[in-house]
Amino acid sequence: MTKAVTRAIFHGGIAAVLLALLGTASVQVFAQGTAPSAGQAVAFDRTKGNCLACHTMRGSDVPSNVGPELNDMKARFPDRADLIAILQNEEARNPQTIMPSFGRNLILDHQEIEQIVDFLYSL
Amino acid sequence: MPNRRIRARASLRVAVLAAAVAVLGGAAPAPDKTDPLADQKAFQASFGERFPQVPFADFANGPYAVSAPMRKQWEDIMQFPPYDFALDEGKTAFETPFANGKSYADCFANKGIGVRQDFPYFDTKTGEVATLDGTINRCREANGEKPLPYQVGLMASITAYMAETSRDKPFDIKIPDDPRARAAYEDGKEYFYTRRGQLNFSCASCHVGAAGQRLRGDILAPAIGILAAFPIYRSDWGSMGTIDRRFTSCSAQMRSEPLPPQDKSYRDLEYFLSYMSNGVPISGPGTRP
Amino acid sequence: MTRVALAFMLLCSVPIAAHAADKSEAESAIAGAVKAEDAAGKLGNRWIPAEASLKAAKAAFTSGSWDAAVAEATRARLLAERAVEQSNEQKTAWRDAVIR
Ligand code: HEC
Ligand code: HEC
Repeated sequence: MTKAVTRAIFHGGIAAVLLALLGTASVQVFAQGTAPSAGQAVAFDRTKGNCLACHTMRGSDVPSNVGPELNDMKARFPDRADLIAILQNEEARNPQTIMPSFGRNLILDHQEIEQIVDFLYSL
Repeated sequence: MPNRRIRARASLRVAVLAAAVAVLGGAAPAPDKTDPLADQKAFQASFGERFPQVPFADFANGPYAVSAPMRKQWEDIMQFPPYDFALDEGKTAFETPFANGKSYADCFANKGIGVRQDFPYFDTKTGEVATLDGTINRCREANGEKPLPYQVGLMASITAYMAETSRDKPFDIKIPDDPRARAAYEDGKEYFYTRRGQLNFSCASCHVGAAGQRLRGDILAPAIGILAAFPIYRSDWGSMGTIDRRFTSCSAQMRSEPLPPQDKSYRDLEYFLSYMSNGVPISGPGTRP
Repeated sequence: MTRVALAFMLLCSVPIAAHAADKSEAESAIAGAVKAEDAAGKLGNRWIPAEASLKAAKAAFTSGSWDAAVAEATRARLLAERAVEQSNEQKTAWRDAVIR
């Protein structure tokens, strides 16, 4: 299992590197410190985070309640790594979760996850 | 989070203990032995506990059973049910003889009236699950007619009519004492609970775990009774749709490549879901937002 | 894992000269993706985005865009490999979700 995860991350890494190689010049690795609006856009995009399908949070216009309301994130998740882990693969924390494994299943890339976490910390 | 980890560790310890006991005890029951009736009891009890305010028969009404505001909307819509045109079309088609003079009635018990609750059934001749929709097409082919497309159109209309003549009859799905029937049931059960697709969902994720909750504008229908209202008119679709249409669109929501309509796994899935719903009355055709 | 992440960060923080792929690289990337998708298909678990990326890779190949073909094929392969992994895990894990 851990081996598999490492492999997935490794592959993910290779993909990212490849994409970086192929893509344009500068790839921003640490989104930390991006404007929350960038993360909000990714989070609300239905083809990306689609977080509003399940969560209610500031700025949402639908009353979803599959997951808990997202608020007060700094106080509840002081460790950034915890939020990254939830977005990477919530199934590791809760094997029966319905929340998609955004990172592990390549729904969001590294940078998008970092951007979303920046946005979450503005909630 | 830390207490989750502790819980996981504790349950690991319990598992190790159980394994040890099993080894010592020798004749531990095989954990995976198929017992459809026990599954059904547990399934129904679990939804009963989750929705104590919902009368059992009301699970035939999908999301409306578990959402009062939606139910109000629904009752308004039902003043002029949007499936009425399909019912008329289906009745006419059902009663019109094929070119060879035979008709659908010749292919079904009780001339096809009031039989929806017995589908799908396990056909011991073919060794496979036979659905209502599949049986309609087999009837057509046996009488020299082209099969109908499965998801929309006339198939939805004919099944609408057949469901309507079966209203209030409780699902009565049987699993004969035949290892192939058990295998089909087990396959459907596995399909239902297995995560697949990029979003990492199983059917159960939404229709068990999150049943009754709001996913954007939708109230997620509880898995029990989930096929009782088919076919349905969905405002979102602007037309009628069969079980295949719904399965296909839920697969796509999971970002999982849908199976072809009436694929073996979809039929087995229908068998499992219908058997879990035994006792829930047929309410089809239905309307949905 | 940390080591991989570190290597990844290092690699990405250094501006790297773009390497242009050629036809044979694109070919082998697509072959790898097809193989992975077939494995996922055998398990009844084709992912829609994997199919879409594979299709895009083939289209890019047809129009001679080797870089795009490699990028899409690589993505398709990674998605398909993850699908296979998901199916393999689920072979036993699904039972933990059953209502008892
Ligand atoms: C399909 C539904 C679904 C989607 C989509 C979803 N989540 Fe979740 N999320 C959940 C559920 C359910 C939980 C509760 C914890 C669990 O199930 O393990 C959760 C938990 C969380 C938590 C922990 C909250 C807490 O109070 O414990 C965070 C943070 C979170 N989600 C963020 C996100 C973000 C950001 C997105 C979009 C990128 C997202 N989720 C998309 C269902 C979802
Ligand atoms: C991401 C959540 C999600 C998943 C996963 C999902 N569905 Fe659905 N399903 C929905 C939504 C949303 C609807 C429409 C609202 C409703 O009626 O529940 C729906 C409706 C249905 C209905 C019709 C219910 C009714 O009363 O009209 C059936 C049947 C169904 N789904 C079966 C399945 C099957 C089988 C699977 C697995 C292949 C599945 N669903 C997976 C979200 C999901």
